[in-house]
Amino acid sequence: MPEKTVAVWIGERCIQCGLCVGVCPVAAIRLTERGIEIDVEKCTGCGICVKGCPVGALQLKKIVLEAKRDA
Amino acid sequence: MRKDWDVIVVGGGPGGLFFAMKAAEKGLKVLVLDKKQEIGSPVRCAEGLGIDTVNMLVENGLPDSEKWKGWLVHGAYLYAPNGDNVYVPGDGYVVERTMMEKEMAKAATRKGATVLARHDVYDVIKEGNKVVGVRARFLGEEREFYAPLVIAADGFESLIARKAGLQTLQAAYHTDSGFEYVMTGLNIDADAIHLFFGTDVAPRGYVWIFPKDKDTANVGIGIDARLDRTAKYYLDKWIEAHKEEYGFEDASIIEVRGGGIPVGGFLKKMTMDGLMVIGDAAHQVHPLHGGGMALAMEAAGLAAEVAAKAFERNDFSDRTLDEYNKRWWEIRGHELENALKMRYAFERLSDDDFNYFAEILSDEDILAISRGDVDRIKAIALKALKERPSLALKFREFIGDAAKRLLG
Ligand SMILES: Cc1cc2nc3c(=O)[nH]c(=O)nc-3n(C[C@H](O)[C@H](O)[C@H](O)COP(=O)(O)OP(=O)(O)OC[C@H]3O[C@@H](n4cnc5c(N)ncnc54)[C@H](O)[C@@H]3O)c2cc1C
Ligand code: SF4
Ligand code: SF4
Repeated sequence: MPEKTVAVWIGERCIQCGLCVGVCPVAAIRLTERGIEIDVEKCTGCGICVKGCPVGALQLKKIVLEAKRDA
Repeated sequence: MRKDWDVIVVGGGPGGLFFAMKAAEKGLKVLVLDKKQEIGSPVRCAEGLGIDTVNMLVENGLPDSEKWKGWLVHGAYLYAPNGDNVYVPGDGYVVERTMMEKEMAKAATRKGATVLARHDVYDVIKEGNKVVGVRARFLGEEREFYAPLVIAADGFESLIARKAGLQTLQAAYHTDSGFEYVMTGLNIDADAIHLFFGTDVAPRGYVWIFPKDKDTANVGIGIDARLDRTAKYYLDKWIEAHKEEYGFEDASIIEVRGGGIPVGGFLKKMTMDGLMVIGDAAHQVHPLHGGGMALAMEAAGLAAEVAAKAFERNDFSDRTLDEYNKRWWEIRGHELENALKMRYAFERLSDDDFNYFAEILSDEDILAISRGDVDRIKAIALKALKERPSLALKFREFIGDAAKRLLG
């Protein structure tokens, strides 16, 4: 299975400030009423959002991509 | 084409709401959509606003009330790392921003606009290259809204223009990471705002104390967003080091805030067919002090004039809307570019330089610097250069040739 480094969100630290959304070069992040949603397909693992976050609520992590199932 | 509204504004912050007030005054049917549960909350701001802008809002229909105007201060103290300070007189308010935005929403509504909270716009609707509407989610329900003109006033996130195909990404190099506590029970001089500088205090930025009443204040920080350590780390460190001086030890934290601040990377192009971008979404923030409310409203006023013209001509093409780009660059754009050059110089200063400037700068010098007054900055830099030649390189954007001559 393919591995990939992506940003992951640590919800309990987040103050919902929206900084990560604005700096993501590939617009992979959205701030919704449920909190931060990161599109792992789009995320390149560049780490810009991780450094920008004022409270350290994002981290880079290696994840295993699940194979897409055909509908 | 379905046309439900004249203009749809995405984002009900100071920019979007002021646009709605001005465009509704001109007779346009305006809809403002904001994803927040409550207009004005949560706050991502230190709430400092010049007295002229506060008065301007009252002239435009906000009540003349301290409930939103907040706390009046009469000047600013700027502190160098060694504690020396310069006082710059000048009246301004630390506004109650949640109340301010609610009053703006009310004023806009009285003028004929409609504001809808909890409407999360997730896509733009296009016909060919033209923006003709938006798609929003409201409590699980999908909704479509159509208009010949859309205003992207969605703040630092600025996803709407990007969805439409305009490049408004906030470059990390031009982003400050902001973090703030609203604290009460403090021991402060509440007649002024206080700004603390230093390479250890706040790399590229400053720590601020903006009083909200005699013992309550916004205590915050803005730093370069590319650093390994967080804004919270730097602020907590500074508070710990000054806990006795300002009474942080026994203070309460009544709110926690943060946000991204665009401090450069200005956009030459903020329009496309059927779309204009205003405020933080268009990076319209002062690159030295990070203030953006007044600029967002100024841009909104301009955009509303251009929108009214577009309706007169029934032409919403990029060519017609381009007047907004042109006028913004005439009125503010170049001044902000100069202030950005000053930011570059500021970023290179050492703690020694800060201490030195606290000694030599007058309050008028500081006002001229923040205005982006190039002649004055050159004069200051040339004078300083004689005593501290190392500044030549740091002020290279301003004193290229003159400095070279001086240094032989
Ligand atoms: C920590 C900090 C301190 C600051 N201090 C000051 C200060 O003291 N003085 C000052 O003048 N400026 C200050 N600023 C800057 C100031 O807050 C901004 O410049 C100002 O808010 C810009 O106004 P705006 O209307 O463009 O954007 P915003 O006020 O950010 O409003 C954008 C609105 O759009 C909404 N929105 C975003 N995306 C969507 C979507 N997809 N659908 C629907 N709605 C959406 C948001 O919910 C928000 O309400 C500070 C900023 C920060 C982060
Ligand atoms: S790591 Fe980079 S690409 Fe991934 S979400 Fe963060 S900013 Fe976007
Ligand atoms: S930058 Fe950090 S605190 Fe702000 S919304 Fe993103 S994850 Fe949350």
